[in-house]
Amino acid sequence: MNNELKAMLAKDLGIHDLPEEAQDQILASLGDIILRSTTTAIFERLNDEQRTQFEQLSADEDPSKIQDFLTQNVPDMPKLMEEEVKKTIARFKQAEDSVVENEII
Amino acid sequence: MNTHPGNGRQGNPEDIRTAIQGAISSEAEMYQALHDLHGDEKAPEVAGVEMTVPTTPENIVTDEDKAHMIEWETPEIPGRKPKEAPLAAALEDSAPAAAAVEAPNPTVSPVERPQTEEEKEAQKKIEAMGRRLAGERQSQEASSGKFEALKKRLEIMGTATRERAEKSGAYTLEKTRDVGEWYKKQPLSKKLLVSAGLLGLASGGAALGGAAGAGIATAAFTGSALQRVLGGAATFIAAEGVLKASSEAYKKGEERTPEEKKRHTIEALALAVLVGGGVVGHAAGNISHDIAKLFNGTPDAKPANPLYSEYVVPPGGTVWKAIEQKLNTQEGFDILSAEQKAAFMNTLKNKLAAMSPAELKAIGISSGDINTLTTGEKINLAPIFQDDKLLAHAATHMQQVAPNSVAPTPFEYPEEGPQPAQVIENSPEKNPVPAQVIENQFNKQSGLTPGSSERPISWNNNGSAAGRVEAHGGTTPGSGEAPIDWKASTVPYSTEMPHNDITNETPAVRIPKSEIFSPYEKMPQNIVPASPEVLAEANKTLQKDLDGLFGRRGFYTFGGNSGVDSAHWKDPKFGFANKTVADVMDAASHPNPSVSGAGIANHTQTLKMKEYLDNVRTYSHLNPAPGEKVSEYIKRAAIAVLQQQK
Repeated sequence: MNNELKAMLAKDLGIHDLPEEAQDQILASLGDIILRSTTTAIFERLNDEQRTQFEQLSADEDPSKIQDFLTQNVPDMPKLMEEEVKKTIARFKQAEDSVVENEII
Repeated sequence: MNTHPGNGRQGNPEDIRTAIQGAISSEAEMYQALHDLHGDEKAPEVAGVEMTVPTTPENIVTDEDKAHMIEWETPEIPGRKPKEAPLAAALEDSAPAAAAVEAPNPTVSPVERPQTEEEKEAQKKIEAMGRRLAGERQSQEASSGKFEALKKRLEIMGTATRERAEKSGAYTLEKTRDVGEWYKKQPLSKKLLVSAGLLGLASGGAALGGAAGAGIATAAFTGSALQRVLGGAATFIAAEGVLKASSEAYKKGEERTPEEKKRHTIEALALAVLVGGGVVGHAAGNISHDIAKLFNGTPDAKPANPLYSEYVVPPGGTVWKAIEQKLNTQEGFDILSAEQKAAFMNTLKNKLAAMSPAELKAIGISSGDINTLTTGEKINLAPIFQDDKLLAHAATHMQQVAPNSVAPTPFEYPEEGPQPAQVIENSPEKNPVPAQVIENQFNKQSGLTPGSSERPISWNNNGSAAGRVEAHGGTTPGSGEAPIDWKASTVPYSTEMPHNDITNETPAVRIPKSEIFSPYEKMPQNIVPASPEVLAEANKTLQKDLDGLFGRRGFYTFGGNSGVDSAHWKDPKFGFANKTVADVMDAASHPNPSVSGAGIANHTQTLKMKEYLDNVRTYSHLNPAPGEKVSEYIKRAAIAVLQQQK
């Protein structure tokens, strides 16, 4: 990741005072959580028929077909992902505030 | 336990030694420090063994040391000779010897003599080292504490995510777990790319807010190093990091094990999620391998960016046009609404307006006045476009003025002098859009090649209609048939249009298959949807096709942008929705199409719409009614085709 970008993200997430390795771990963990929660949110939207269709498409392993399918059946996917990201960041920042409050620092 | 040497207290020798050894980088320094502390002394003769105390660091021994050394090291002890025993070994082996490095304590020190200035200085140094060590340790402990707490929190969040997936059912849990496992297997560098994408791009920077959000927003279309990395990173993920394994095997048609197939499926899913959310800016089929290679090979390589090249003032050129032209070279700028563009450019222009005449001259405006440009002079706007703070401010202002949605009101470009030269430069005659580009686009969408006898139901491959029809008669793209006079059609048209309040009294029009492929003049034009479902599907077809034409899926900063919401479709003055088919197909319907306007004022978009309408006519076998608007025609044609299959 570009250092400039990482520094920006670290500053906004309030982890810029941590060592670089720690920042990397936290950023990677956040990515994992967001990706998984987003995937859950997306598949929660699909009914049985759509899931069957998805499985058939998946057999081709063509990302563009899968992407088309998801876009068609979850048309607000970008917004959905944005909400998941916001929620995750909010929860993370909440955790940070409580760290400060508890005077662990 | 007191580990600070030199504080006059009896500390644990082990700790003191450790502290000093930690503070001092080499043994020589340690000797020097001790020497400074205790001075250069000549040892008295003890037990017949003359022990000298040289001033060199190798063997500095105090009286105390010697006293203690007598106990454990005498010439009688085989293999050990005082003269050869280095002090370090003495410290290593002897607690009393280690204790000798303590600062002299007026009450305890066996050496009862006042400290020399050098000793005091050395003691201060050691105390300072100790304090620094303690401070660093405290800071490390604090950081460590914060990190541990955040790690714990992330674990809790991860568990909550897993529990949510479990509650959603086995299927969702499996998919979530698959994606999670895919992510886990990626090297840290790729995880960080994906994470940056999710945090920054998918949220449009809005979720983060602050500098990061504005910075990412800025980077998306200003050609900063950030943008190159983001663009490169996103494409890299698609091109190399994710698709590689699956595409290679897929293309080669190799036999894959069930495990490989599953892995490829998971990769495809993860990529689809990332693409769908806008993390990856390019569809899987349109990967720029050049960018991927660039990112792969030399991360620091920066391709020449037209944003930073000089602007040569054409006749009638203005500062506004200069800024606009430069920004138009950046990917993503064209998808902004007119209001967003204007808001962004206004900020930059205001910056220029605030510059002194000398500053303006320095960037090439010889008059020193932004309203007076000289034809042919070269203006360097790079300082503006490299000012990250300014760009971030412009992005923030843009979001405040026109948030993430296409502005419905039209934008009137400000009148600044005579007809802009750039428009002339970008006229179709001078810069024709290669037909191949458009052809490939639609062919890619339809999955067909020109001249193929097969045609999908949907002329834009919306996937909503099943089956295929064979094309019999009618014009075919590239067939060489005479172009249609869209305005002079003689086929009787019905002005009755499908509408939402379908009643049972309206008879369904079912077109027998034998008539579907007859020449156009026999095609019934009165198309009424047989059911609400058909109408709904026709609307969906329209939306899907418009997404394909004008939409953007979560492009960088501005989330998703459906085709129906794009300025090219909706703009009241130039949007295609409000234009007749004849307007679009008539090449002279707009006097000065540019590459930056909306809808019919945009040369590229107009060509796209023309091609699309050609396809609609070809596959639906329907002519547009005189004065029929594009939106109505497309829907009517979709209904006709859908009902053919029912």
